[in-house]
Amino acid sequence: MNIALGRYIPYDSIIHRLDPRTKLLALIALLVAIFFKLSFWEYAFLIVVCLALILISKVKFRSILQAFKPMWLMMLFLLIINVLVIKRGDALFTIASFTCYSGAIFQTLQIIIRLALMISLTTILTSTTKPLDLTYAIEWFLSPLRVLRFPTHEIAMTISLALRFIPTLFEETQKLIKAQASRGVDLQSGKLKEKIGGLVSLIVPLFVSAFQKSEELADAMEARGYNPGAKRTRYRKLDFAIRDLVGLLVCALIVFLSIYSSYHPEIVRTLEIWKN
Amino acid sequence: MPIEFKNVSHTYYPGTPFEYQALRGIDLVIKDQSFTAIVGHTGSGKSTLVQHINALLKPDSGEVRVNDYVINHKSKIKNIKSLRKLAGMVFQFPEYQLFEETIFKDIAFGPKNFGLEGKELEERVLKAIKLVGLDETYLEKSPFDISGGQKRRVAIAGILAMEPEILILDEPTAGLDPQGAKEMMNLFAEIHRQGKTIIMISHEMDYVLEYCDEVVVLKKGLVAAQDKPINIFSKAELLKGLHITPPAIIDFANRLIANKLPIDIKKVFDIESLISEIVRVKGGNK
Ligand SMILES: Nc1ncnc2c1ncn2[C@@H]1O[C@H](COP(=O)(O)OP(=O)(O)OP(=O)(O)O)[C@@H](O)[C@H]1O
Ligand SMILES: [Mg+2]
Repeated sequence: MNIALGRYIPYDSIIHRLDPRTKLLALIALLVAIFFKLSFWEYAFLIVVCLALILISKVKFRSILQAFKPMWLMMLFLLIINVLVIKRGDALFTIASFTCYSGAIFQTLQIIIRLALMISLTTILTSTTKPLDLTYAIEWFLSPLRVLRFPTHEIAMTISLALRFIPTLFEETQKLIKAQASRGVDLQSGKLKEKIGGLVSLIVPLFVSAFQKSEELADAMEARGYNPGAKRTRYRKLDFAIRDLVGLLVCALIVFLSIYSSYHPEIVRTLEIWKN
Repeated sequence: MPIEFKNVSHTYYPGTPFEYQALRGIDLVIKDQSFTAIVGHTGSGKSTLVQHINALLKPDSGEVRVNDYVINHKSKIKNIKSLRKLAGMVFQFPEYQLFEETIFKDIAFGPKNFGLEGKELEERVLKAIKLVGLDETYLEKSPFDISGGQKRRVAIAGILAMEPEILILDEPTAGLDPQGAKEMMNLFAEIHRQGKTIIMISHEMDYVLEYCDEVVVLKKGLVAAQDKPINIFSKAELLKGLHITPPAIIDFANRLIANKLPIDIKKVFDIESLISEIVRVKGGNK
């Protein structure tokens, strides 16, 4: 059985120790950079940055590849659509009076690289940050909205509860898969109709138990006097250290470099000349 | 044919920080048509062990043989469905696996997956629900509208309706009322009398002593002992090391023996047998 996507993995690395706010901000900044119209060199640069982050954070390449798994089909689909629709660039080859253009390939490649970077960076964040810390970070960033009576605490609590129950649901799913497999459900090699029946036999009990759990949890929270509107203190304090400042500066530099150079192609060209 | 474990190891999440070796080289033979109990401290690997019998889990090394099936790290089992039908598994708290609109459909789910239909299927379901002590008026009810204990019975009926040759039970009586638990145990004993192999994980040593004819004790992923229940339970030293509290009746009999009542502990397995032992010894003293 494989590990839930992006599950927190308790290694000890500098990335693990960073303040969750730093990591969240850095992720958002990098994602913004990725979605600028970058050229080949900037993507290469970001890929190197991403690989470096993977190495530093000790996240296993395997778990990142696993995160890609659900994407393969989508990527293939995208490629087919693009090849059918986009007619830019040079004609590459022709099959049965249908011509494939280089523009289609480049466009697809660009989207795939963007997605891959996005997934990798997000996986790095979620595997190096405890879900609860992440919610604290989200709550902190949302806190200015409190002035507008925006329920930041409630939202943060909802998120953290949802995150808290992901592993539980995952475990329960595994147990149910086994229980229903014992009753003859074959999700791997059965007929389509059987597979659908098999899925129902998983989904219904999962929903039932999720509703039950949420009801029990609500009762338990109320029994302990939980009041969403109350003023709260926190057991764990977030602390912003020098390393966070350095991390943010590095990140800002990376983002700046990639965006700036994409608007000033002459920089890359100078680099190329310089290399020659 | 017996069920054989040969040097079976199993590790959860290998190669990650969550790695945990739950079985560490199990060698074990479970006799055909036996009523075998698997006992041991929590976390000793009991559930992991039994899930190898119907190939829900595969060993990292070593192999498990069940009839003609060989379950090991490499092999892809050709006819996995018929193995699952051969060895029916009742999980701990099986009531969570109910999902159909009616109890009839839920009990029929397993046998249907194994290809049964029509009149035969109906008969199986009817037979199964009667076996677990509910009547047919339940069949059209929703499995979500009955009590926890009744759900448990329905879930067990769902496995019984598959008519497995080997019945695996993971703590089947946990959380049931004493009366209900006793009824369940009698049901399993009845199925055992019909010539099926029963493998039961249990923390209730009174039942193990009364119903089972073999006990396997696990400790930290290894087989620590395997013998007839009374042979295990009469060794106080062994039990202590294995974190097992002996059945109350054995404890009681041992105290009688300590008080110079020369009863034969090997003949004690429930209240009645203890009484007749006392009568035998006392009668002889007159
Ligand atoms: N799905 C799983 N993923 C990871 N580790 C597991 C999993 N299932 C069991 N383990 C670990 O393997 C060990 C043995 O578990 P197992 O469930 O076989 O114990 P058990 O003897 O059945 O205990 P209990 O009496 O509490 O049911 C435990 O330490 C547990 O933490
Ligand atoms: Mg168990």
